[in-house]
Amino acid sequence: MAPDTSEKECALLYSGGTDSTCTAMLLGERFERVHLLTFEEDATRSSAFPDANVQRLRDHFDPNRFPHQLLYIEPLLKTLSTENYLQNLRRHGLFMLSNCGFSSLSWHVRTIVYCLDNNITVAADGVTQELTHFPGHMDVVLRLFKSLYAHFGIAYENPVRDWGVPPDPRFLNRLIVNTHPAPAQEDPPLKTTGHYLYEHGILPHPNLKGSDLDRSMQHDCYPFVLFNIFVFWIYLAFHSYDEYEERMHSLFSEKTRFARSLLEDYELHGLRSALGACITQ
Amino acid sequence: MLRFLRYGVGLLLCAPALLLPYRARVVYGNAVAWLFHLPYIVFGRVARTLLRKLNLPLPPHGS
Repeated sequence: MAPDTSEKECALLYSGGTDSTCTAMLLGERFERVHLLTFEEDATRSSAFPDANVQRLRDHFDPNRFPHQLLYIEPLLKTLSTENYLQNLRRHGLFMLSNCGFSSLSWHVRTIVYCLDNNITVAADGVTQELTHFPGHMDVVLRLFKSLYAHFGIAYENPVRDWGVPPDPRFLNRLIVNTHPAPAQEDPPLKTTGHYLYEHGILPHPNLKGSDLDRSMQHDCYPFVLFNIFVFWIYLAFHSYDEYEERMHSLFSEKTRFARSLLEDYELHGLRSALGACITQ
Repeated sequence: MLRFLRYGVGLLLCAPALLLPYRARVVYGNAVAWLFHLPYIVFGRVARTLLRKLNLPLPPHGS
């Protein structure tokens, strides 16, 4: 049985970018060990391994506080994306293009497995109010994720959720992501994750988002151009954001239920379960 | 008008992805993402080359 590490250790979904590195700093003040978990899928295999900011964190705190794992989750993502595919396609249509959301769900399922295996009772991520049309960034879906964690005795936190977000400098996002409700904030926001890291000497500039340095230090998330086209060119062109949120909630309620059944089976049968087979491939 | 045009183009791009097997869908999604990014990548490379040839400094952090 794993030693009792509750309240001394936590797990953090870690891409190496500004938001998750800031979250790691905040958690580093609270916990003796912060397990940084980076996830790799086939679609993101060529992106950077985020070791530069891990080293900066270790230099700032101590070398042993931030163990870092790269976890390959493609088989799990495939399972979550394709289960009952034809029936789901009939029910949810183009919403089945929400691969970036399925990718988020697979990160959370893998994090829960990691927490169960290591007796960790707190997990967190660096999700902000940025790109709130992503399923993994929507309040209604985050609540589903929270209850999934809670079912397995794990508290899931979003410490920088309400921090300010700098304007997105990426031209492509301006082209496709044209209209979605973003929370009102001061212009420019004063309390951002980038400012925090800059003030603590971790980063050389308060806003690196979209820069070469940002790309070099951050592991990519699932490519989302196709998903953005569906959301902004197809669905939101003729429906309200509330309808969009409701449909996404419906899809992810079902997916989270399926994930919960996989995890319950993993608790009973460990690596002999279907989920166990996914994570050992 | 633009709304309908984008809707049509969006459908043409998105619908095939739903019908592809999983692995082909991943490759297709990556290919569409690469194509959409291509003009910006090319623009960035041309801008860098011009800045270098004109002996002008690159922006800090490559932004």
